[in-house]
Amino acid sequence: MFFYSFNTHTKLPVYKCTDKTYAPNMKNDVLEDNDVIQDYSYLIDEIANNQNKQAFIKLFKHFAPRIKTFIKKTGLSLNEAEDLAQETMITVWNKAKLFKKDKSAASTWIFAIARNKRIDHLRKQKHPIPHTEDLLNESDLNINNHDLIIEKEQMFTYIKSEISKLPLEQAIVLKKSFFEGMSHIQISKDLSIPLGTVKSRIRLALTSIRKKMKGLH
Amino acid sequence: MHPTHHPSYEILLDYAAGNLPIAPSVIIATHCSICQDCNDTLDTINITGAALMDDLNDDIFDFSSLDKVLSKLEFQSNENDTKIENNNGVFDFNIPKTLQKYIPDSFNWKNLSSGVKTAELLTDDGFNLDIYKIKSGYQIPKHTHTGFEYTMVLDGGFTDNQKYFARGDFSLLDNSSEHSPKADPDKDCYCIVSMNSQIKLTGPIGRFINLINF
Ligand SMILES: [Zn+2]
Repeated sequence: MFFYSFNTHTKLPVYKCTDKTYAPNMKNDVLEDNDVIQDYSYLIDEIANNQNKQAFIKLFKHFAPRIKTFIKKTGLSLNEAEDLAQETMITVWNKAKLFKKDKSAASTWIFAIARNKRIDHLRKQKHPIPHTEDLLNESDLNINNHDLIIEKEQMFTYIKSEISKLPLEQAIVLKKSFFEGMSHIQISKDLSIPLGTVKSRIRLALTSIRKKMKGLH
Repeated sequence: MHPTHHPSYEILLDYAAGNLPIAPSVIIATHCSICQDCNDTLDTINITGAALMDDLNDDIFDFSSLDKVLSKLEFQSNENDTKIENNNGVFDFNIPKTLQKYIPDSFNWKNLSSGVKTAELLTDDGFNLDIYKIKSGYQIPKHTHTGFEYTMVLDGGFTDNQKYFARGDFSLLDNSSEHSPKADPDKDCYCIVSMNSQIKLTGPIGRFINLINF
């Protein structure tokens, strides 16, 4: 069962990802500049279906500064950070049709594009990404159907709040991995802690987040 | 498909955050593409990374770049992206799509010994990615490595240190592990292997082969 109730101060109605009808006045609401939680998936759909530049501007305002800060944090220059943030957002526009809101939240999708842009920028060859078609071909298709019904945007908001509650020592390891480009071996050297400790912190953090994700259905 | 042997959480994290070189990353991506369990872990890692990134902000962001970006947006037609054709190369078994783009049309096989052939797929950042063909029933002489060895079985299977590795199974060995994998008796075994080191044969016969082949 899905117990998490969506934040009540959102302007948007809660809907299932399979529901294609939206409140008629939603477009104005969602494109208005305000601080309420946005349904970013809806904005990506607007780009995919209607080439909606207003929707793009909304996404840009939220994501571009964060992507730039992220790239800067990883040690690249201000110019590189600016360029990669812009490139990421242009990719969001170009690939909007490939976004699957039943698979991930908009934030997860967009930040993954940003991460891959950073990795590709540092390397000669592109970062390999699992081709999910393989999984569909090979798996017994026993994927829990509830997975597809859960609203991924709500899941993201919930998981984000849970991640902020992780023990500091676990959060530090995750941040070093994502923001400082350190492998678990480098983290162990950087923090002068045994490799086994780094591994168990990673395992504890990911297991508890994964449990939370599973607990939603 | 349900592989038995999986990459650990820290390897999956290294891969997803871009802290693992390309060659072993190809092996991890390929494994995740056919392993539901690891693919789920990857989802967890991706949502975690995104949540941490979403907490970042930049008060001094200069939004004048927005106009520049808007001017670059082009109308996207409704045409579907071109599908990747199946390309199994020279192999008679199914190569996972994730791996296909690294498989060349023709192979330059190199004989490592009477029962082992290899062909290089790529090399980057000190790591090679090779495809290994171990003849049915052949046992690779006892050896260690000076670094890491990432392996995934593509077809057939092998037994190593009393563990059985079948299609999709992953293994990671470091310089502390001595091993001597033996291919299934009835089938040739194909693996993708990534190493940043030399193989050091350790058995008495191995030391002899060392001189000749490695
Ligand atoms: Zn796995």
